[in-house]
Amino acid sequence: MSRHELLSPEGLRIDGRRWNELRLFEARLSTTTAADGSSYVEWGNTKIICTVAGPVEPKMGSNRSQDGATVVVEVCFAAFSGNDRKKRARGDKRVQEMQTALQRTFSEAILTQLHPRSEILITLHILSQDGSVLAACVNACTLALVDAGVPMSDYVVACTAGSYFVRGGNNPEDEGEDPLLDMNNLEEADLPSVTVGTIGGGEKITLLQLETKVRLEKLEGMMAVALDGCGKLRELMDEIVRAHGNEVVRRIAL
Amino acid sequence: MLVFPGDPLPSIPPPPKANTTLKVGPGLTHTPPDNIVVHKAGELNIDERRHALWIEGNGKRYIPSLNDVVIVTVLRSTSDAYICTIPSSISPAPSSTQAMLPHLAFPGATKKTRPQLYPGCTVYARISLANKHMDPELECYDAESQKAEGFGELKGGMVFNVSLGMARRLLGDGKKIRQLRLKQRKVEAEKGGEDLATDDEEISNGMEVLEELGRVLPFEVAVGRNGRVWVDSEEPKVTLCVGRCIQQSEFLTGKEQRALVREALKKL
Amino acid sequence: MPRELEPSTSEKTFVLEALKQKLRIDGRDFESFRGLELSFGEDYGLADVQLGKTRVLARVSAEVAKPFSDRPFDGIFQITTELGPMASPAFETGRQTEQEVLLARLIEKAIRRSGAIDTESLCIVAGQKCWQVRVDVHFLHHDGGLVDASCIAVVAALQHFRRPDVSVEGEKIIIHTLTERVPVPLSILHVPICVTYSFYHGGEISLVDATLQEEQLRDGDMTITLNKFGEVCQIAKAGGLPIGALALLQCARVALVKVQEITAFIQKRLEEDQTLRTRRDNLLESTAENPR
Repeated sequence: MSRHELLSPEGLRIDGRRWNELRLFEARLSTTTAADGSSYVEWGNTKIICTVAGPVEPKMGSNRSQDGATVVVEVCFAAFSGNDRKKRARGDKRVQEMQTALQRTFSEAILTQLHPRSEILITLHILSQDGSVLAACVNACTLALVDAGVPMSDYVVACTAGSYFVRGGNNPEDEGEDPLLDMNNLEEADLPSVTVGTIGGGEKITLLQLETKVRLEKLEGMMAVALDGCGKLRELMDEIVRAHGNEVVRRIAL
Repeated sequence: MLVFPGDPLPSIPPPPKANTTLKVGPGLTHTPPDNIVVHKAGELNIDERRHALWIEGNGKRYIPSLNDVVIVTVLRSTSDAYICTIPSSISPAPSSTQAMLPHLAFPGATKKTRPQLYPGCTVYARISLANKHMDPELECYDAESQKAEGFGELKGGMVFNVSLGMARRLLGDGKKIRQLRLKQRKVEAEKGGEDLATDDEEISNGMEVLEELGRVLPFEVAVGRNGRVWVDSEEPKVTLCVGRCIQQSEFLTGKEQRALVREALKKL
Repeated sequence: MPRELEPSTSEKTFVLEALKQKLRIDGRDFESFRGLELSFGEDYGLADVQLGKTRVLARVSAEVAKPFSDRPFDGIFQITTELGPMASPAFETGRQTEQEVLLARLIEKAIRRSGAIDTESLCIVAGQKCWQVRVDVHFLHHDGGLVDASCIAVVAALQHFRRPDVSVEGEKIIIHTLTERVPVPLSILHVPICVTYSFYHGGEISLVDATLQEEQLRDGDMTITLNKFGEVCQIAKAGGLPIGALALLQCARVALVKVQEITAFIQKRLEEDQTLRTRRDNLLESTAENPR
């Protein structure tokens, strides 16, 4: 896929969105019966199942802490989730890094001190990857934790943003950088992208990941766009949770 | 004189009085009937008056021995004792020695009046039991007077690391070593027929830095033989200044130590 | 599993209280690195970095190998890191800890993924022969700042390294020994340098190049990798304390200045080493044993 097709002259992206539009974000809560809390997130073509068990008695003694609950995250990429069928080994460094990032993010957001000597186990299954996988994982975890009733200070929301270099052609004034919100797989492969995670959708950043080269000056714009996306996503997620809550209440009333 | 493990000992001077037993200190092993073997590298010290000899080394790992004062950290509490760790002078070693501090090993402690210590507390204690078969035990009172005498929890302040040799010198061992060195030099100078300009401060006793600091700054200090120095004062910057001066003074002569302190005080 | 001993309560409170009063235990400013030392070995491609007490050694080696089938025009470039008990008694051999994985990933992202080395220049015959360049990072003493120190060591070693020259004549590939032909340096596109920030007191205080003690007490951290041209190669803030976006950007700007200083320092040391080598080589050549 050549680069200039990622943003048409009319300002439309490869999947028809404008620069500041999110992909369709759909989620369901309480999808699996065995888990204490679970969620299913579809964000564009990125699809993730998340289950939460806990707070429970830690399986390993080293996870027992007097100060608060230990958060354990397991990420599992389905072999069919990417473009080629590929089984990721358990010890894959990229997966382990994701797990650590998620674990540290949620240790901060969950009020762990309320559950000392216990463990909260979050398991993620990535069914389909189409960009913004880490961000989608964060959002899925948040919804599953809400479903499990684990006390958190606020929603943890994450979103990605990229930067697209517009060639001016004959007119140098048109040249410049366009930030893009919510990157899909094709965009991620060719453009620099940053993942930003916040607690509560405010402007304080808890998770920040950038893996591609980008000029320092562009970073500010990308972060601003991603933060804006986090704010929007928080509203979306809040709606989903409230709708689910109302449904539960209605069923109890019947 | 520098000796290495297995080195033969030089002839030991005769005892000053008859019937004085020879005292064999750290770094030397006595195999009966009268064989003494060096088992540690370091400087051999012979005190003729007390008829004692020992080796002064500067290791990093602390090995507990009876009646040493140490600065320990509480790890956890069991039903009748606090489990403590005796950290060595090097950076936090995970396998540092563990020791027991019984709940009742405080002056006048009963089951109800014993001091409450929490994990992470810093305690100044004396080793009351040390042998190679058991974990060492600690006590927080003086053996003779049965009073606290400065032992107990060290509240606030900051702990600094120094080498084991430095810690010993800070506790006053340096004075004797210095006397011995001066004497030795004199003997050597006489042999060589040189005239020795005796500069008292050329060999440090390790205490000049504290003397000089104490003249100007108000602060509290506790030194553990495990290479830990606890310093407390009203202001963090004073504590830091004291701690840093102590750490930097290890290889300096008395004069240099005093100069170092004056420099540091100027900056303060 | 041995664990590093946690700092005692008094150390913890003191360090944090001192930070509030703008004091660090070792007397540095909040935004300054510890004393940086860099030396090179007798052979090409060995760099020894000391950052305060932390000491890291990087060794570059190259051999001829078969390129990966999906990338026939690219050479192979690998970085291996292993935390052993030599660096600190808290590390064990053989078992990969979380810290080790994160460290390896960070170095990999900072140097390999950011394209510091032009791997295409390592190709000898497309699809058949290429250079496999390997950097082994050894940690000799751990006193905090492992990522920063090892990144400096790796880029310095890569810049110092020379590989044997190769000539291709039809089917025949000749690798010339170091004495036969002047060895060639690797083609390095940019020099990434990592700067790690540690955050305290709800993000009010951010420190550069924390010592081990400061690392143990921090609430959150962020590693940012830049090159002297102001390109961000990588940012990793894996959770931890939430920090304002503007504060993070400020950190990045300060980091750029640090990166420029460090790059200049490495360059200076490389040049010094080069002059030394030239002088030595000239001396060797002018000995009477050599034919005139």
